[in-house]
Parts: sequence; C-alpha cells; structure tokens
Amino acid sequence: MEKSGHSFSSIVEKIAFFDQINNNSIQMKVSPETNLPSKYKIFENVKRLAHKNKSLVALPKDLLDLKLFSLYDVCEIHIHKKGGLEYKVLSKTRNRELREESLNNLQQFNHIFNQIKKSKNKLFDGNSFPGFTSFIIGTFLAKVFEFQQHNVILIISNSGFLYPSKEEQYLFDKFFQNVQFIIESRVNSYSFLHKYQTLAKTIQNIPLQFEILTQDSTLLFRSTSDFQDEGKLRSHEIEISDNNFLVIYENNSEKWATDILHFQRVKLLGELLNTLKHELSNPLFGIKLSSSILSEEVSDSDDKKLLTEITVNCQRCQNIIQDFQYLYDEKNENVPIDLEKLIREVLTLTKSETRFIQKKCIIPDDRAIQIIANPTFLTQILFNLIINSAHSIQERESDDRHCITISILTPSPDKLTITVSDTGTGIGPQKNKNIFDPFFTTKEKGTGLGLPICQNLAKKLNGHIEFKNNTPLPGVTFSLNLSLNYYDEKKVTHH
Amino acid sequence: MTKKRLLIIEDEFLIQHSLKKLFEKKGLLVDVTNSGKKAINLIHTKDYDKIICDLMLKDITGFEVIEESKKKFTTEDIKTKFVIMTAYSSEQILEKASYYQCKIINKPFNIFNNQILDNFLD
Repeated sequence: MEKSGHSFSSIVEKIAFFDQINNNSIQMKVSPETNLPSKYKIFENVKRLAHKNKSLVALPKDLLDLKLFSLYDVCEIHIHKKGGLEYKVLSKTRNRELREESLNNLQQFNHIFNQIKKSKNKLFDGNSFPGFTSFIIGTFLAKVFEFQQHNVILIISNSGFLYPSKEEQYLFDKFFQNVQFIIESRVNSYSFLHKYQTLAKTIQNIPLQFEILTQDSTLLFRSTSDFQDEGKLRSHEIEISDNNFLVIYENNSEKWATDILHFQRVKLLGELLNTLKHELSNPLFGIKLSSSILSEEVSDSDDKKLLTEITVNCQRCQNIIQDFQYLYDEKNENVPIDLEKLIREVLTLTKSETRFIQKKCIIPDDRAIQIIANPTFLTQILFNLIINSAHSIQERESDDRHCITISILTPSPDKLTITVSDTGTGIGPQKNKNIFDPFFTTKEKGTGLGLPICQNLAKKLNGHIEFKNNTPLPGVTFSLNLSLNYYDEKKVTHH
Repeated sequence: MTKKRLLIIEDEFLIQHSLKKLFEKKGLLVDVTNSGKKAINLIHTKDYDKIICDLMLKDITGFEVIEESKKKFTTEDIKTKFVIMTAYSSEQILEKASYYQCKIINKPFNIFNNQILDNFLD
C-alpha cells in the first residue's frame, strides 16, 4: 500500500553504499567519526532508522530513540501537502503520547518554512516563532525538506537554554541530509494512508455487499461488517486487476444490479423507439393515407394494384413500429397472450439477425395456446434467446443446414416450457457456470447483460431459464420454464 | 345551406393533403396550413366551424394555437371547434388536452372507418 519514490530495496542499497563509505573511511584514513562514541556514527543511526517501520506517525519517537538524539526530548514534524488547505503537526516528547493535529494557518507555516530555510546555523529558541511549536521550550534545531508533494519542517529540541554545540549541529545536519529519502517515503505513505482510509470508509458505506478477493480466495476487502452468509447469496465476479476479483453479492431484496441495468436499457431503448416512432409513423401515415385515397380514385387496375401495395406495405411498417413499442413497453401488466402469435412477432423482429437461418416453430397438436403473462417480458426473453442462437450459429461458420427451433411444451396444466434450440457452437464447460452472471460475455461486442436480464425477467414471470447442450451436438437448447396460474387452450379453427 | 368551414393544421404534407381531399369529398370548405403562426392568423380572420390541429408543429405547438385563439373564442367554442390530432398520446398530453375539453384523435387512424371522419366533425 506504500506509494513512494523509494522502494525498500533502494533504501537498503543506499544504506549499503553509505556503510561502504563509512567503513572505507575508517580503514583508509582516520575519519573524524572513528574517535566518536558509536552514537555519533551517523550511518549507524541512518541504518537504524531505515530498519524501523515505515510510519510517519512513529517517526518522532523513532528519532528520539536513536542514540544520536538521546539527549533530546522533543520532536515535532509539520507536514504540508502542496495545494492542501491544512497542514498536519505531529508532536512527541519522551514522556507524552504523540499528539497529531491539523492546523490551517498556512501563512505562518510558509513564513517559518522560509525562515528556517534561509537560516545558516538552523538554531532557534522559543522566541523565534512564537505560537508555532507546541511542546518546545528553549532552544531547538530545525530543518526543512522540500519534497515533490510536501513541505516538511522538522524540529528537535533538548529543552535546554544553551544552544546545541557545533558538533551537534553538524551531526544533525549530516544525519538529516542522509535520511531525507526515508522521511519522504514515510510522508508519502502517511498521506497515501490518509487518502486510503477516506476511500475505504467511503467504500464501506456503499450499501452493497461485496468483497475483493485474490485468485486464491484471500480476502482483501469486505464491504460491510454485518456481512450476510455469502454461501446463500448469488454472486457475480468481476476481474478488477491481475488476479484480483470483485465479488458482488446479490442483495436479498429484489433490487439487483440487473434490475437497474434493465431499467436503464429499457429507458434508453424506449427513448430511441419513441423518437423513431414519431419520426417514422407520421410520414408513414401520410403515405398510407394518400396511397389509399389515390387507389380509390384511379381506374387503371395496374395503378390500383401498385397503390394498394404501397398502402399494405405502409401498414406493415406501422405494425413493426407498433410491435417495437409493445416490446419495450414498461407496463407491468399481465394480459392474455396468444403464444404462437407472440412467437411469430418476435421472429419478425429478429429477421435481420436470423437471415439465412431456417426457423421452426413447434406447437403441440396445433393447439392455440393462450397464456396470461406479461408480453413485454416474454418478448424480450425470446428475442434475446433467438438473437443469441443466431450469433452462436454465425460463430460456427460451418456449411451445415442451420436451424433455430422454438418449441412449446406443456408438461402439465400449470406448467409451460418454451425452448429455443440452435445448431451453433454450444456452451463450453468453462462458460456454463457464468453465463447468467452480469458482464460475463463470450461475444466480442457483447455486454454480458442479455442473459442475466432474461433470467431476471423470467423470475418476474414466475419462472426460470436453464440450458443444456444438445445431444447429439451441435448447438444448445435454452428452456424458459414457466409456472402459470392459468393457461387456456382452444382448438385451432384456422391459421 | 352554407357549407361548413374546416381548418386543418398539419405539417406533414401527405396527411394534410389527404385529409383535405377527404373532407372536400364530404362537402366541406377546407383550408390547410402547416404553420401554427399562419393558423392563428387564419383563425382570427376567418370563421371556422371546426379546426383540426396537430400538436407537434414545426414552429409552435398545437396548444399554443389554442391559447392564442382564446382572444376570439370562448372556452365553449374551443371545446366544440378544436379537434386535437396527435401521434403522441402521453399522459401529460392527454391531461393538457382534457383541460380544453376538446376531442383528441390519435394518429394513425383508419380513414376508411367512416366513423372516424364523422368523429372529427361531430
């Protein structure tokens, strides 16, 4: 989760490099450091700091814990994220807990930042910046860092009234020159953590049950604490990055993603069809009106035939527009439906997609079957299944005689099954678990919403959709199984 | 007996022309226009027994034509003279039309159904 310019390995490399210089200087010539007690060996201290944890909040304590700063008892860090309206202050004394606060006097921050930057010896005392530091009394050493995204002021004090010695100033300066990258990395992760926490909190409050899992099912994130037993819920997986999956659980209340998606789609199509209807039906009506009036007036039988043909064709176009309207009518109404008629209508609507494919409609004993159901839902389901079949057949690219067969089966008086069978590619074993999941698609331009929406609509019709690869192959058969409260059969008189 | 005068406001030429023909056959005097603004002028300069008005005109809506004619007609006149003809019969439109209490006829309609034409003229 750390976002910083310095990876841990680069820090280790750097330490190793410093160590080498340090050791070399010891071996090759007498360094001023060699005579110092170990606490003054800067690189020793740098190494120690680098091996601590990487939290900025712990930095004041980590610094005070170093041998180098054993005589100091207060450390303050002021961090301003460039562009931010506030800056953070972390203050720590040896005997008090860390204090973390947000301040907004940026003018003061910038003023002091510049003062410290300009100062040569970096020595200050309580009178230097009245009101700026919280725990510091007496003299202190200060340093500023200008990082890519942050300005940072670091203050360390021994609460004394004597200024630190030249050696101490030298060590302070030298040390912080060498730990800049450690501080920057801690500052970056601090500000990233802050962002991450806000984001996590936001995500946690989204009223949806979901998890983020790695490929081996390790849980990375879970949306709510009162997680319902996911075993009982239907889930939908979306790959969000390499090896990570977002698993959304179907809410127990019927408000499901496909509902929303279906609504959006219907709304969009509805708008489109409304526009089309208005733009087409008015001129069509005009053509039909005038051709029918003219056909009454002309005496030449050829002309009459021609004009009648125009009238009939206009009517056909009008019917198609009307059917579209019917198809995307959002009224949730159950009405008596002549099933065969509805299937024929759907076949008309799929004509362009199923061109060159033979279509068969098998109805038991040639009965006219009347059912009470929602025609919009039923039409949409069949429309989708037929289009899927057509796509699957086109995908197979074989010269077989292709066929889409729609059959009505009535296994018992309250059950009705409509099957759509094709001679296409069928459903491979790796796909068959997911085909009803939203966004799962095997088509190049598919949305992965067709079948989940169909399944959801089937649910609303008090039924469900299942499928089985044909035996013998090729192709697959989708069945829409409906439990109807009532359906009526009448002997066919004419067709 | 004087002939009844009819105004047809419709911007689809074929519909306008066909209706004109049909009503002339029935012995009416028919004026036509495709513009709402021209229609308002005609209403103010001539006396019509019936006004068939499409709602979606190119310049203004049929409702605006009715509003403008209020200067000349009483509410009762509007109720009996105007026939709204529309391809869009959404609930809002029906509600708005019911405010004027005039007749609404949906497009498309079957002109060979004699009742429909009489319906315009009732």
